[in-house]
Amino acid sequence: MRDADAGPLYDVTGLTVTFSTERGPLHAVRGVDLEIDAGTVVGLVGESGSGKSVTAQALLRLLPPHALVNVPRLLFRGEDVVTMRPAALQRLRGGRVGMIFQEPARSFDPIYSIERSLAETLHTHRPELDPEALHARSVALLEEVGIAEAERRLASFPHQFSGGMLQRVMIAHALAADPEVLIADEPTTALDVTVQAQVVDLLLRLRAARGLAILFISHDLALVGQIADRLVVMYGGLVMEQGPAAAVLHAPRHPYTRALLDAHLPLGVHYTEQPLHAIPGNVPDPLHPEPGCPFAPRCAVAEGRCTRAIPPLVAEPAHAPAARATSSVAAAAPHDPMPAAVTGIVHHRCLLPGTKASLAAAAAPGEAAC
Amino acid sequence: MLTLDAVSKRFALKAGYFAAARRHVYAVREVSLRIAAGETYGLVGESGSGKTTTARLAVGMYRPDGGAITYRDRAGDLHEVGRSGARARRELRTRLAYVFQDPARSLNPRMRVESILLAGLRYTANWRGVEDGRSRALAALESVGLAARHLSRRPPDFSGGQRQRVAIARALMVQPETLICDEIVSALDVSIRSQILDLLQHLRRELGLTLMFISHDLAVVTYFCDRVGVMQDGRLVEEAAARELAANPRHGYTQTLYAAVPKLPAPG
Repeated sequence: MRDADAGPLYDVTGLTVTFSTERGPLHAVRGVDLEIDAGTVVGLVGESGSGKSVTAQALLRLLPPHALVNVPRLLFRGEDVVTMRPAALQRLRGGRVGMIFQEPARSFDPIYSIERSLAETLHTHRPELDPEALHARSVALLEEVGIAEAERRLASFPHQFSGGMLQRVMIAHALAADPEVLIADEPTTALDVTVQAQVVDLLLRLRAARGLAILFISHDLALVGQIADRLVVMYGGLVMEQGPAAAVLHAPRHPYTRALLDAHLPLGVHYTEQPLHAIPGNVPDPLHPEPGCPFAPRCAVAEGRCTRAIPPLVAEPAHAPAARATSSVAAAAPHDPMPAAVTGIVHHRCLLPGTKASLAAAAAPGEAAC
Repeated sequence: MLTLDAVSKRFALKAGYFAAARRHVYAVREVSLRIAAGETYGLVGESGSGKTTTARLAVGMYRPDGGAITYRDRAGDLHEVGRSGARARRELRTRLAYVFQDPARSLNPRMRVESILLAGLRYTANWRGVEDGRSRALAALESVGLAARHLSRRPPDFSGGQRQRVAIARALMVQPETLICDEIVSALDVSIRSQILDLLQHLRRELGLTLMFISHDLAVVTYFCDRVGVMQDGRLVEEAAARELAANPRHGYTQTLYAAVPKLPAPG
């Protein structure tokens, strides 16, 4: 790990992003706070349209001109990203912060060999390297991400790689300038599950070897749960709940997190034995956001006050007895899955957190909209 | 009952002008399977394993290069799938219907839902004119949880889940006996996925449908199906009752697939 003394790498408060569209303003992100500490993996989970990718792009000021970004505080290592000059921004993008995307095949120029594209990336951030050094560095990077015969593969073109291998090459690109943070936006969504497991292993290995902080964005709660130290759950452009991954997974405070966990189908469950936990209704429309909690229209325990104003984010200690409907005193239950070591603070945005929410959510399974 | 007997399908590789005629890739190799009436049969495998090709062979969208596909309908008539006669194909289209993966791409964004639904019926043996078609369209739409007011809308006006409901309604227009569902929940959010799976279970019971359910998602397939076939490189490498497969995967590849699925901590 690098110097962890200087506070978080990323410190974001109150990020809002609104796109102006033909159909009116689209409220993609409606006030997101985010911290990424050195060497930690932050998992950002949400369904499509929850604002997770837009949040990630805002961290690097990558949003298009028609996006209206308002952020009172967006600091990278204490430096204000909003007022950053072009040269510094250039060093940030792909330099101090690397980024990988969902579909590796679409992220490469098909007529560039891997050597040429890697050399271009390296040259941008390390102009002092001569061609020989560029080549050596490229080979080393490919080896680091687990590509066999790196020397020979450098001459290959993107179409000659499988999806998983190409994602490794993309990670090599992102690592070229020795970043402190890697933003991974759904990096395994287009990949098969066996390949996904390999890419996740690679990311965890790099994190250990380089002390890399990772912002891992995904719609798959189980996947993110495997890799993240901290979890941030987004819905309707808002953070619904965030905290230590174990606390959020084992003792979710927000009914949305609870519902997402319930909607997850574990292996080995069969329709003849167990109904599905469907969440009724539809994901919120960012063109017409709800005045209150965005999950309120679908929430089993919502009350009138939930729909009036967006509930504030409140902080609670992570080990508070909560959530699991089956164990009234969670901390004392003999088979409680919550690891003893879970500490820290959970932030959530529910007016009715804890046992009541989880009880009601657990009591209303399988209510489909059909 | 749908029967595939040692079915193979190969595609020509466009490797170059001179090579094109000689080089092939086998998408499906000697796959044999049988789906009983009323059964839900799952096909699972990674991309490129031949699931979709198998499904398309089963409805006669492709013609097999080897083997035979037959379908015995409820009346007991035997159909040879993949036969060329227009009449035979129109006949078969009323028995088997296909739902595609991504409703955003399988529904024409410029057509109104009513036209989309009617188009699914028009070139089949069940076409009895526009009036009859309209009343069927309404019934199909209602059976998937949508209403008459949705008939005049176009696909972009719907959410992903609703669009998939429209796609299912289109398949139901011919009142099929068998529905082939090709990754129909893969493009949907988790919270919407359960709704569509519930809907499908409901329809299956109501209409006595036979289902072929294709997905790369092991958890979904073993939850939703009665029997499951695992495909790898065009071959069917394992077949078992869904609960048996989940409890005791035998083939090495199936075990690898199982091991790779991310798991949440067990609920308390």
